[in-house]
Amino acid sequence: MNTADQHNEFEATASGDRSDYILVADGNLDLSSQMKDLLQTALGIPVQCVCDGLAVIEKIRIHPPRLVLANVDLPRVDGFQLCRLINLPIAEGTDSIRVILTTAEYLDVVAEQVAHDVQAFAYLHTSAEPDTLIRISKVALGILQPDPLEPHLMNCRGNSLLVSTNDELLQIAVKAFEESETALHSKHSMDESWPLLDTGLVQCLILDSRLLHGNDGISIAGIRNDYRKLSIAIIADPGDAAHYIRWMEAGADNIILQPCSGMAVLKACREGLLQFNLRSVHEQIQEKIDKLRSVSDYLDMVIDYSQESIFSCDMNGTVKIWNKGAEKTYGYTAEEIIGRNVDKFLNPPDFKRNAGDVIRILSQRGSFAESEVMRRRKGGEEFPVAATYSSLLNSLGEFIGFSVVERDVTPVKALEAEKIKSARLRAITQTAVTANDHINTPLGVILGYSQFLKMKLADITESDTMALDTIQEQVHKIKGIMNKLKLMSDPIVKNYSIEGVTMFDLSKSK
Amino acid sequence: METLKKKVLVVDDDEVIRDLLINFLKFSGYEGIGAENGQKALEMVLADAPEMIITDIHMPLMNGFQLLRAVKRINADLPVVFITGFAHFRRFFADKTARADGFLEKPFSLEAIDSLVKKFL
Repeated sequence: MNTADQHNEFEATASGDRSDYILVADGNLDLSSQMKDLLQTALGIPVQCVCDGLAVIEKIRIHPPRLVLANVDLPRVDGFQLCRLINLPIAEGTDSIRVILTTAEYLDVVAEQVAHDVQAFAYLHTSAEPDTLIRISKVALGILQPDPLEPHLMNCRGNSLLVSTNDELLQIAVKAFEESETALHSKHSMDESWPLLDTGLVQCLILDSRLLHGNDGISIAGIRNDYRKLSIAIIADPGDAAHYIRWMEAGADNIILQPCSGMAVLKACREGLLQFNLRSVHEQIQEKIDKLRSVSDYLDMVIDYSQESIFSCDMNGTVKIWNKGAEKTYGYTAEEIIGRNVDKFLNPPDFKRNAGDVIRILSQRGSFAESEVMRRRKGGEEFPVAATYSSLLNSLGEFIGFSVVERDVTPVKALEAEKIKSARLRAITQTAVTANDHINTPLGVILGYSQFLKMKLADITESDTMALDTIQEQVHKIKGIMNKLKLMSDPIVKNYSIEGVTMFDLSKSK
Repeated sequence: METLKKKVLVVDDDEVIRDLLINFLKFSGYEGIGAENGQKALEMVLADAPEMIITDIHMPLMNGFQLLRAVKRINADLPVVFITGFAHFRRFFADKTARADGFLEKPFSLEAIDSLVKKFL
């Protein structure tokens, strides 16, 4: 038994009635389990779950259910195929089983049209409200009468509206539509029609031109403006070409000439439905394009206004993207550099690695970073950057180039140099303080004894006195130097007379 | 009858400084006695009853601050003067040196010692 079979659950029904159960088919086991609980509770009918299309078919052939709820995205046999097979039929009476298709993916009018064409009973989004699911299921089981304006029911889909004061025309059209099992609403005036149009369910409007000639203010341009996707066909009298052109210009899609049959109206409606679908698909695509464009614009803005230099190159090292941060850092405008080889602009003259080397590294590692690499500005100044290189891959996963994000680390380097200077100064000061403290005692002894000798010796000569004074002067000088070292906050270094040796300039240091 | 000389206790672990000050005090007419640390000095305060103490701060066994505290507990009026080469101590230990009666930074002049002694004795 394979995994799918293990998930296919078959519950023996208590009633013994072969049709007295609902079959739920969904690859998402959580979702099918939720639907099962919901439907069993609300309808009081047993629900069985399977997770692929083939399992549905097997079950239907052995034990046909009263209703099938199937996801369009079923594995092995999808929901649309399933509907077609059931309607063939694949076993006696299967064509009478109603199928409600559910989907999380295919939400456009084309998918709805396919669901209609494969004769699904209803087409529902998987996120539909539980009440909607229960209501549609009840209609499918015949417990509830269908609402003609129910958007999920396929036989109500493609709603067309015929507005005419000609009862004979209305009758033949309604008959033709009934024969083709297609929904048609018929009204005598636009005043009666507006509420229906406002529901958004009407996709094709067939309008008798006589209503346009009246004085009730109806204009095709007005209808087109209010219901942009609506397909509009005008039933007109022959030989009024000037009007046909004006109506088309105002927004009509089709002109049906009198006298017309019910089939002609039906044909016009089917064409109108295609027109409506075309507009819907176009609108959806346009919405997606607009959304993508806004995302793309936003990303462009993020890249453009980043303080970091961001640029990208193709496999030849030709610059493709150059943001404002790069313009500011390097001094080259995007116009100057895009389309040219990056190596000629950014690398210092003695820099060995080129774009080819970067590509070679990226092909092995995908991305890499450098905490410091030298670059050259437009003016020739060399400066350090921290850089991150990343591979650029196309939708097929092919390596098509690389992007670089860089930060000018010149300020960081300056700060580091300042920190080193500060630490060095602290060390000097500490050394000076320590030396000062330890040297003071011997200095005190020298000073004290020189003073003491001068006091004690009565017959001291003038030259001896001068010698003792000199000792005292020198002691005070040493003390002065030590105090200066101790309090130094901004040392000035000067070159010593021997090349390569430097020392503090105490006269200039602060 | 010979007048009793006033007694000054010099406390310093550096023997050269101690001897310099004792010799100078004797030369100036005082009795200079010496101790190499605070503990010994305290014993001498009790035994010899000096009238003034000149002491270093940084010393083994008992430092100058500890000696000051102990001496002032015995005799609050006994003048204690700090002499130190660790001049920056004065900034960091302002609260501790505040109770001292004087403070001299090494290298000191003998004139400064003379005026301090004259001030207290």
